[in-house]
Amino acid sequence: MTTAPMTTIKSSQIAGSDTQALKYLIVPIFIFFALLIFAIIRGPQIISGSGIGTAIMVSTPLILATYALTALALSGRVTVDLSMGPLIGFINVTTIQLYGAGYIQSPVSYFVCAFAIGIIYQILYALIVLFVRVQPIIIALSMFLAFSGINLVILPRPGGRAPEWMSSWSSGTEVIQPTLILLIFATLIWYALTHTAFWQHLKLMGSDEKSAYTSGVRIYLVRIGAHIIGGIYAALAAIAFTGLIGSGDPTQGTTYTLMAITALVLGGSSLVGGRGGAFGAILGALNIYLINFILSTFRFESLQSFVVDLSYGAVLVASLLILIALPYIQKAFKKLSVFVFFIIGTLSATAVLIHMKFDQVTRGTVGGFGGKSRKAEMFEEALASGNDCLITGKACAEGGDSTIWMFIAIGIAFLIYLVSLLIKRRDASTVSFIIATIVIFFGCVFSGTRIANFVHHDLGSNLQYILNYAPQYFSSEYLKIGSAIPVFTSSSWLVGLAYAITMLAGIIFFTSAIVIIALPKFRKEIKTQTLILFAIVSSIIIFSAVTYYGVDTNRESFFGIDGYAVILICFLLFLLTTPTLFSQVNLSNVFIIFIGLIALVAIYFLASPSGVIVSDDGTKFFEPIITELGIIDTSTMEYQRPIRGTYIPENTSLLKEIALTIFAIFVFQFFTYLTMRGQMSYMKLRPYIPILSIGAITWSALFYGIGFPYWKILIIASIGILTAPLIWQAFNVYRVKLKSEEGLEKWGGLSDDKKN
Amino acid sequence: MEKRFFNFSKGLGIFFALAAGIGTAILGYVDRTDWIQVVFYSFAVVALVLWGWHHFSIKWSYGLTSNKQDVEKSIDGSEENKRSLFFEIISKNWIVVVGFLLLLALFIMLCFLVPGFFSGRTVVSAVIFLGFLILAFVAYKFLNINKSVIIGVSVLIGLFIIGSVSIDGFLSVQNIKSMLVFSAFLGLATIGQTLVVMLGGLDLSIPFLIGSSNVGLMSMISLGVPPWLAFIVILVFGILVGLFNGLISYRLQGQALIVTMGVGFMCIGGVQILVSLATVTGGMVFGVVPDWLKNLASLNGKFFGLPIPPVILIWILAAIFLIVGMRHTKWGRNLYAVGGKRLSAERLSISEKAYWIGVYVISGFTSAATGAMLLGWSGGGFIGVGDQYLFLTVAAVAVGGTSLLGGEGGYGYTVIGCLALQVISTFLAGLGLSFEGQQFIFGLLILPLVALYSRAPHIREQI
Repeated sequence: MTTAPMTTIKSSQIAGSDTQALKYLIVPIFIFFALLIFAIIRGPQIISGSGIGTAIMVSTPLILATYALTALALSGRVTVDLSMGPLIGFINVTTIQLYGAGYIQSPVSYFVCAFAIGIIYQILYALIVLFVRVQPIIIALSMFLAFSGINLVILPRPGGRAPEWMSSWSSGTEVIQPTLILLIFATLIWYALTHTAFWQHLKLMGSDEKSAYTSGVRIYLVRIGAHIIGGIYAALAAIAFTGLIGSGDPTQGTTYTLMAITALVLGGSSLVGGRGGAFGAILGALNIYLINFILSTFRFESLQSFVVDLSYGAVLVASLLILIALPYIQKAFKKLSVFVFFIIGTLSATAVLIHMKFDQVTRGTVGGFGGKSRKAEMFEEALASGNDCLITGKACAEGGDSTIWMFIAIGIAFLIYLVSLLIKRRDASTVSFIIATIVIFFGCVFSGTRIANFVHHDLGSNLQYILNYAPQYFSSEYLKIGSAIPVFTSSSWLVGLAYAITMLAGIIFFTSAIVIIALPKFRKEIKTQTLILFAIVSSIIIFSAVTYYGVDTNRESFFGIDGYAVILICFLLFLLTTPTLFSQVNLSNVFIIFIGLIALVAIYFLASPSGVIVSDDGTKFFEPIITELGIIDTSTMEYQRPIRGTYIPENTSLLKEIALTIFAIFVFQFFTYLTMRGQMSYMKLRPYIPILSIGAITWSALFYGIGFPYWKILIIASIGILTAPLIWQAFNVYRVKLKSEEGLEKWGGLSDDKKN
Repeated sequence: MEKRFFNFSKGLGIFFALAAGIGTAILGYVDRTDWIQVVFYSFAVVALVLWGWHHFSIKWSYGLTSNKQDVEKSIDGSEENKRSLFFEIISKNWIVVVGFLLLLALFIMLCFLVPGFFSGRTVVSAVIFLGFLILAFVAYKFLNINKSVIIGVSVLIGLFIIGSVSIDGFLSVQNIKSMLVFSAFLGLATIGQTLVVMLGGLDLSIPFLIGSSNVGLMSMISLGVPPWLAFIVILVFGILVGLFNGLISYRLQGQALIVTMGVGFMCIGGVQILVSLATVTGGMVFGVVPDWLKNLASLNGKFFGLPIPPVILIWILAAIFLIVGMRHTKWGRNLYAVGGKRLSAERLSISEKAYWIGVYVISGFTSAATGAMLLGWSGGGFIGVGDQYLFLTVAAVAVGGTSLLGGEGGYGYTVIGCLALQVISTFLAGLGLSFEGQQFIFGLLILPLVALYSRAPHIREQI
């Protein structure tokens, strides 16, 4: 499909056709989300103002060091600078000692000094590689030893004092912090660099130095340039590192080398050269942070460091093994774009986040999915100590002013994108769409508070609430607006207005999105963009609803049954329109997301083990799937099997079970249909087996997780596949119709697409 | 006239040499040096002066004798021609000459600046060292055997001279024995690295494997497993890890470095968890090491009554076996073929995969064996025992002269590399430097040592 000639469409306009060069990112993205989901399950506090702040603070030096390594690794000749960690340590201890001796007091001179050390060392490195012509790894090796030694001479033991102006760097409670600014600044420079001819030369040199030389690239200059970049980022990493630990530490070098190289590999960069980038580096470094975070949630006691070793090694080897399998993965996911893959990951992480947030205890018995599992005493205890942000999701607003500024920054960036979209395409749908989005944005920022009180526990009587409160899901509730912005109360006219506009805009947005997607008249690019925005906005809604879960003021979660219902209704509407979405643009990937979400939501509705649609009895809900594993005294260690919800057939009526089965079959078949892009026959099934099995496994896991016996899942899957032609027939009618319409359109010259 | 002149100059040379030797002996006596050293120095001085006199008197009189035409030409030539030959040698090697003069200047400067530096011993040793440098250089120029061997041996001898000069007890039997034991450990650990590097790979799992087999063996013995069985289990463990390394790095040859590092970390973490489950000690395991293992590796080990630690003999045997094996067996030749050019090896129907995995298996085996023997040396299990081998193994291979790109070199070179590294580190330790200082200088020294001969050609020549 992608091989068809595309003369009039730029490849960047099509979601499913990003360049093959980026495909390596699938592996880091996959690892990242797998780890993130696991981390959320283990400790939901990671998604909160302070959690994100800490993550940024801790992983920034690593990200910057990985940038430096990436620049060097790109240059080829297996330039894995093993001395990176000790170099960072060297800059760290040198600047600390100089500062302590009273030399470099101003931030400017501090930065200049750090940069000078980093750049001079790296230039020397490059000159040795170029003129002495020994293997870079030898230089790295010998400098590793030399730096590790000299660091201890300069500063015999951890100590010293970071400059005054750095003191705020190590708090890490806010999202917006100096470290983040440093990181953004560094990343911007990086992206500016990647748009230069130099960067192309660097990549060419990295992948094939001889051909670069013969095609006139001045490889000496390029190599020195790569090392200068490496030096700059090493210096930045050292500064961020100094800010993080607030002192000098000569012993961190070895660990940092290992961590940065692991991050480099986890980010998908090739050590052989020519492949790698900032996004991969960030993902790799975050993966390292997540591994550490996950490990720290287990109580390994004295075994901690060994387990860290083991898991680093295992992850390193595993990611490299995935790298071997990459060509096959790419073949199987030929139709899957990296971007869409990222969205899938985001959404599944969000889904887990939802699950985890509502796996926590709430006080009362009211509220849809609030009353689950964990012991109530634990919750009460935490609430009494004022430390409840760790077990509930509400910590979020405590990031101070910075959180709101982050939202505003994201919003402004989004607005800029929209305006550029507007300038490019001035048609009615885009304009209305943009207006809707702007309004939503303001509604998100300036909304008041409200008290939700749910009393009814069945879908029917909650319907009124759903209708009443649905618009509120388009706003981020309970933002604590700090001193920087005037406090708005619910009585404020501005809030009232924004609230009304938000409600209106939400409806307009969803309707317009559906209309845009549904009508074949719109161009494919617009459809794609709308779809993606739709996905983003819905995830934001889910996210905001979850994040501002108001426990502290004795409010029940308003993201209860009605929350799911709203989303379900939206997605059902969406699902109804999907057959018309059958276009040449690779949208089937997007459907996968939504169908997955629907399945998730539907499971919550249909398959609760208590037998009623929604139970108000918290004890009947499930234990967390992954239980505590604490290795303290190994002789008494017990391995519990994972606890999952028990399936109580007595509580489930036959009718309901049949309905559930039919639903599962339908979902699976629909997935198959979309995946195979309508070309269904048993002969053509083979190439789709990987993606189909992934779908089957996903849904099996979902059903298994809620307590459905496995044999039933198997039966459902097999029935689903065997009876597939029936439903395919039904969809084929749509398809044929759409084809003919498209043909007519082509005659009329309305469509730019020339693919079939 | 020529003949008489020649005889006269020869006699003069012998006289000078003897005088210098006697002078050295007197200086040494005045300096109250150890008699071993006095004898050593005196002989060295005599030999050097004799050789230098002989070599240069002939060279400067008749020009470069290596080529017969040159000789004839120089005989025909006039006085001016002779002079120009002298300048020619200098102008050809001006970098070396300048370096040599700089070294001399440095020595003189040191004599003036550092109080107590100027003594008979230092002067003699400096003369020997400088003379040795010239010798090595000339040998490098005129001898027609493998150059990296010459450089390696020269470096080794040069370091040995410096070491014996500046450190008391450097030449003592005990010290030489301990240096040999240490380089035997390093050499055994480097067997695998050499073979792997021959194919263009790198094995960074060696230090971790050494550490984990060390700890694993100790904990197995202390748990009551018969030592021989535990030893075999450890060796099998090493082979398995090597097999795993080889299997998964085969498809990722460019990234073998990281693959093996990852496997190493898995190893070290896994073994420590297993060991600590029984006894939580944090990296150290204590127990009683069997006597045969102690004898095998400790400094006072006896080999059938001879006061030579068996580990040295094991190393020597392994080295001979490997050197001969790599040069004269089909397996060894094929190894060079695969390392040199994959495509050609494939055309000769040599299985790249089998060789790649094979060398990693050997590497795992030797690392595990080294770890086990280190237990005999130290007497207690310690997970960090192999840490220094992370860089030492690679450095030994590179310093020896095996190309990291593969296809060149051999274990003989690595032996020289191991010895040289051991002499350096003993020397640095003997200077009384702190561990950090040793590390710093050691790191800085590896680079020029490798740069001496393992330089890649310019990109121009690679195309």
